[in-house]
Amino acid sequence: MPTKVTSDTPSQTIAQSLWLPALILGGMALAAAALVLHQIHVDRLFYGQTNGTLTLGFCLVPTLPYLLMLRLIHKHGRTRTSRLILLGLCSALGLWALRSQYNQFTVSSILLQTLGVGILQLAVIILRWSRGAQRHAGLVAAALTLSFAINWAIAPLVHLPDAAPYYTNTTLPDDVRGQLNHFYQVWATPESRDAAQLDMSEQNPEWDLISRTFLAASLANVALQYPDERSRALETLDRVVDHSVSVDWREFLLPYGRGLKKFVQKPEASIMVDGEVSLMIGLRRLVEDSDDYVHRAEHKRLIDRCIRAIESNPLSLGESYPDECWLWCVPMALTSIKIYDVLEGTDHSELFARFGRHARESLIDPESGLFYSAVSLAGDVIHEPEGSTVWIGAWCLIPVLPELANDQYAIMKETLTGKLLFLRYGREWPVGKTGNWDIDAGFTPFGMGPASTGFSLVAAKEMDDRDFFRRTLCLLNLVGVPQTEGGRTRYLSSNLVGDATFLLAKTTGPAWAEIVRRDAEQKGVQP
Amino acid sequence: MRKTAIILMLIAIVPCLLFHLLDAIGATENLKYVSTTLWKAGDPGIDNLLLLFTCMICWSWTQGWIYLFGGAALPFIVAALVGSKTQPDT
Repeated sequence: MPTKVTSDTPSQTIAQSLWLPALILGGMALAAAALVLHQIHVDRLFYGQTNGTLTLGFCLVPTLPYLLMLRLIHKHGRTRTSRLILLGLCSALGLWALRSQYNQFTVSSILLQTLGVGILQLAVIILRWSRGAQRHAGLVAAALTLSFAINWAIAPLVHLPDAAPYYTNTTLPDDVRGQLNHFYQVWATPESRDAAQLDMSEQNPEWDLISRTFLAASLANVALQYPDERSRALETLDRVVDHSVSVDWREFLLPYGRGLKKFVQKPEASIMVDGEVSLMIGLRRLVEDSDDYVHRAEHKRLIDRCIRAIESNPLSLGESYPDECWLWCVPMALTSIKIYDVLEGTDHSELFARFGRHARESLIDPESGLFYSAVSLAGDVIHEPEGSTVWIGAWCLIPVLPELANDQYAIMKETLTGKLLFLRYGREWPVGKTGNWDIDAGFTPFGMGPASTGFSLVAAKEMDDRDFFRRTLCLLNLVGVPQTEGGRTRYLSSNLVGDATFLLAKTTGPAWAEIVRRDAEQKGVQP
Repeated sequence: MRKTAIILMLIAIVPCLLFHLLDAIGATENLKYVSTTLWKAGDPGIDNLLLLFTCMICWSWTQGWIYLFGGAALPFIVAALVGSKTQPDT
């Protein structure tokens, strides 16, 4: 092993031993302070309070790579110049992580800095090896490269699932069977339901609602597609609807929507809750309807409220939260109205067309061509286009405004997706843009959005985009850690709303097709 | 060559076995912290987080890294076998 060479004088060494750690500790302190402020901001915004201990602990974690830097530089830096270069490289890497991914630095800065430090450290170690050891390392590297190339070539054939069983099969695919069994168990008794939904509700009441809506939509699709499963799916669908109708609408809102500000539109209501609960009822009636169905009156009341809100606004918008109109919720309410139309024989085509005109004129970001995520009642932008919102907006519009939905989907495919090896994923923000992080986005390392990925899968299935569907489903199976136990399948790294999203993605299709078919039948045209 | 082959095979297999062991003892439940936003002081604890990352890393091995390192071990296994046939027993 070569002897360590140093040209530094004792006074220089002492100076270095002081200023280098000081610089690194200063960097750690700055990073920690930035993270603490960010976390306090997030906590106050979404939870109205701050947990000091947790915030501090959580925010100190990303500074750990600086400790690795310290060790690397002091152990392997042979000269003052090499130490400076290493410090510069590590700091540049950390700064780049913070700068380019500032909304997600909690995760990405750990990954990037640790990776960078690890690679640098490995390179330095290998350079100090003997010739023989270096040759051996070269052989191992060559073998790994060759193995990687072969795996790269054959991985799509080995890993990519076949999309066909999710589209045309008359028997339930095994994973859908397993996921259904899981949800049947969750909704089997009030105790199991409350435990699961309470967990969702405590994290985010919206997720509680969305998990119900997506489950209801999945069950309706299953009931329509698989006759053998119809009665069981319908039984659980009834439980979901019965319980959701009994919950006060404000309980599905995040705390900032529960009285801190007043809703502008009167009577006070959230089109998010009205749209989703009425959608659940409508889907149930779409599968099986009767004159004495218990929630007919409630269905009408909710639909009337949605119609009134949308009709009364110059831009055809309704509030999800006070003066906050989400382009997830309004399209979903429109779909719900459409289902009501095919069930009751009413016609709100003019309302849909009016929304379509306003959407193209005022609700689309001119730069990306995508729906804004949220605007005020006056159309002022609150949230730029986000994958965790707009995919579902497009999915909802398929039976209502198919051309607009198709246009949006095409742009989303182009700007809101990414490729990773042979896999595809959804981005939270269009390429080159970074929006404001919120709780729905989840961690978004390198722009990859877990929520956006799940929702893109739903839209892709409905759009019959089989290639994108199978590549995204493959990614989901790789990172979601699906586990089947006792016939029940769930994704270990997901939660109830995630599981419901994946189930919907695998089953969506028949319900929207049924709406289109009945609508065409009523109008006497070909679907 | 033999030593390298064994090391690469161990790198390929051990994390996969560890994942199944963690799954068998219920430690994979810690993966739920990936999607939860309800982090409180002590929940998840350090042990939960360590198990979470261990499970995630080991799972990634069962899904992909095993093939990479297993594949890379093959030339060394072949070289070790050829070498053992061409050299007389001592």
